[in-house]
Amino acid sequence: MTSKSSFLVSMKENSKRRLWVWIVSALAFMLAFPALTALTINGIVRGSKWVAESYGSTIAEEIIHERLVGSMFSMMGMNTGMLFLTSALAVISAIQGFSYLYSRKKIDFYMGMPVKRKKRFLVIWLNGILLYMIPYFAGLAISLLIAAGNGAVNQSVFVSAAAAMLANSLLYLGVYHMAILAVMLTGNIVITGFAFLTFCVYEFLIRMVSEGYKQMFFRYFSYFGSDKAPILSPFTMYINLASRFSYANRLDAKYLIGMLVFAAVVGVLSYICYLKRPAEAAGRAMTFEITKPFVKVLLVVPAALFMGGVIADILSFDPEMSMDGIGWMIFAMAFAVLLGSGLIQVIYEFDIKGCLHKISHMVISAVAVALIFIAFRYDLFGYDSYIPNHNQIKSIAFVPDYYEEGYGGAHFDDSGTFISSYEYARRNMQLHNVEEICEMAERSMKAFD
Amino acid sequence: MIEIRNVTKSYDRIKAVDNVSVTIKENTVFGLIGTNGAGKSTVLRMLAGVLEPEKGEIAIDGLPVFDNMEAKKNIYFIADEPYFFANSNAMDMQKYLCSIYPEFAVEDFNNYLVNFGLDKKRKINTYSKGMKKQLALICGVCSNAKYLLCDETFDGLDPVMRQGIKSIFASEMERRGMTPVIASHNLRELEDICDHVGLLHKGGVLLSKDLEDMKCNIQKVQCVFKTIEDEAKVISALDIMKNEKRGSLNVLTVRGNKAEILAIFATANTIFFEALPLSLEEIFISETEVVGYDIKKLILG
Repeated sequence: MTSKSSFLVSMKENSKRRLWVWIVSALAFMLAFPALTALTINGIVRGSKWVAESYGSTIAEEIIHERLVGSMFSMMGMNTGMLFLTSALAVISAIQGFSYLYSRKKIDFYMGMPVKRKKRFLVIWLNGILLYMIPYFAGLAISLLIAAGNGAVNQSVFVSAAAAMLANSLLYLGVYHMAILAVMLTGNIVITGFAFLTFCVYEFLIRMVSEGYKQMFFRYFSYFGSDKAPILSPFTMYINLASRFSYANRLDAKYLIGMLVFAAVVGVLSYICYLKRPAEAAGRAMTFEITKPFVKVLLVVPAALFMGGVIADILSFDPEMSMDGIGWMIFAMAFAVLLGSGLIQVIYEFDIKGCLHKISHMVISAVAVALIFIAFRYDLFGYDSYIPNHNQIKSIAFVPDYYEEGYGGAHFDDSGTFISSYEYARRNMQLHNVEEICEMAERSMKAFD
Repeated sequence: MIEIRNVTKSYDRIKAVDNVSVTIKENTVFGLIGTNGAGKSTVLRMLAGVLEPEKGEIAIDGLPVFDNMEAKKNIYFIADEPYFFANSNAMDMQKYLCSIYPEFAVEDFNNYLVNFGLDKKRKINTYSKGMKKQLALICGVCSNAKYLLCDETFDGLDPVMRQGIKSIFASEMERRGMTPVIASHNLRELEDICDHVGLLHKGGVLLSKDLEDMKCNIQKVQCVFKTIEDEAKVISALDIMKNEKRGSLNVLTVRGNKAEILAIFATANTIFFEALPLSLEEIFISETEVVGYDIKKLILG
């Protein structure tokens, strides 16, 4: 059991070690944010002087108030600036807080002390959250006061601010836990940086490669409805949440819950890794030896397939027309496997001679790349020949490529985002003569063959 | 009491500590001797609860040490390169340690700083290596922890400082029963402070003995025999560990009780004989040569 006073003392001591992060956060939120608010208000008021001259003071007041409120709605709410600032602070806080794990000297000092590992994690973790929340909430309050003092608020601004507090806090948690997980899985700051970047872009890379190969080899693949944006990303969820809010003026529970679950799961994972982390991992590339082969294969395989896709693009490779260029694709993929495996092994061992070690990993990666490529090339899973069972289909949207000519127009989705007429049709058309359409599809495929 | 039972620890595939068992009694000064790479730091780090042994157990007063606050409250670990907070001074370290060790002796800390000539407000990163070690030792002593684990802490201290620290150790041991465990590769440094020594080599314990017992059981006698027959007669009557002969002068290292050995020499036909004091190094050399190790290769300094 930890006494309250002992815990608070530990928090205070930990804060002393992280003073510069507190200062950066305070400067950003409690100085820069209110200053920006005041400057924005000032800029709008000064820039709207001509309105009073043109329309009279009463109308001018209304117009200026509307402009001010609109501006404050955006500034206090979810926006790109907050996305970057929140994410940057989360990463800095996570790495700075747990960076002692990179140094043998610091580990000897801290882990030699009579402090339970759970308590140490909790103190650092909680401090990392407070150094965002406290300055942010305080800065937001100050900014709202400045805005209110200048007649630049109404109910919508307060709602926007409240929604932003929740969304930004969840974004911070998600990114913070991702960064902590990156620290726990690695042994030095450079590799942590790579790991964090990998977490951010990996799903996007997989989706992009998958779509690219489907587009290349599957005759009946359609881009409509496909989405390269990662699902398991706090950034995507935040952007979707912000987009929905700006259109519907309410927070979409789906994305809120998604962000919360993501933060919780990644947080628990990072905690488990912290408990399991051996002290001797300090300075190593990867903390857990067992993860090394998996990480290597999981990085090399999509990278090699991506390289193959890039070469295919450069050569304008079209399997429907001819297989010329496939040799170059295969060569590029093989080269990427060789280079990628060797480079990652060099990073693992911090030794250039490492590129000649662990040939088995290279072979496994090459086999995986080959199998995946063959699966796409020969459509082993029957993507192109698949027609679903009529009884399993409720309705069909039939959107031929000439749809735009007959039914073009501007459309917007629930979040207010512009969508093409193809996309509109895909989402809203519901044809129920399923059997006839499936038969038409089958005949069309046979005719194409 | 510290008990290390069948402890093994590897780094990747390299065995740093291999099936080590040692008992460290309370209120004694335990010296852990060994060359670089012998496993001294690894043993100390496991004792301090920094590393978890892959096999075996380590208990401090009956409590397992790894991630156990109750056991670790009784330990203060001084690493070979002690860490201090960036841009901190001695007072900052004292405040932090007070938050961790409730019985931290603030007054003693301030007194020691004055006695050792360390400015409490000066930034530690401007201290010399020796001064940092002094400060680390002061922090350790003032923590009032029962067991003070020192990893090559005395290395780098000047002889005056070393004596100062030794006298502090002696007074703390008398006052509150502190038990220092000191790892070093320098036998001469530990000679006049250790009560018990353990010799590590390539991750294993070569020997672990009480220093007084070792000194009592090994004697060095310098003598000149009248005849070769007299020499052979005496040598056959003694448990000889080593016999160095320079001309007529024999220097014998003999296992056994001093009084008994001198009694044998008294009855022998010698021109002269006398017992000489043995250094810790000579005792080690004698003990380990018996088991086939050339200790000179093992001990630096």
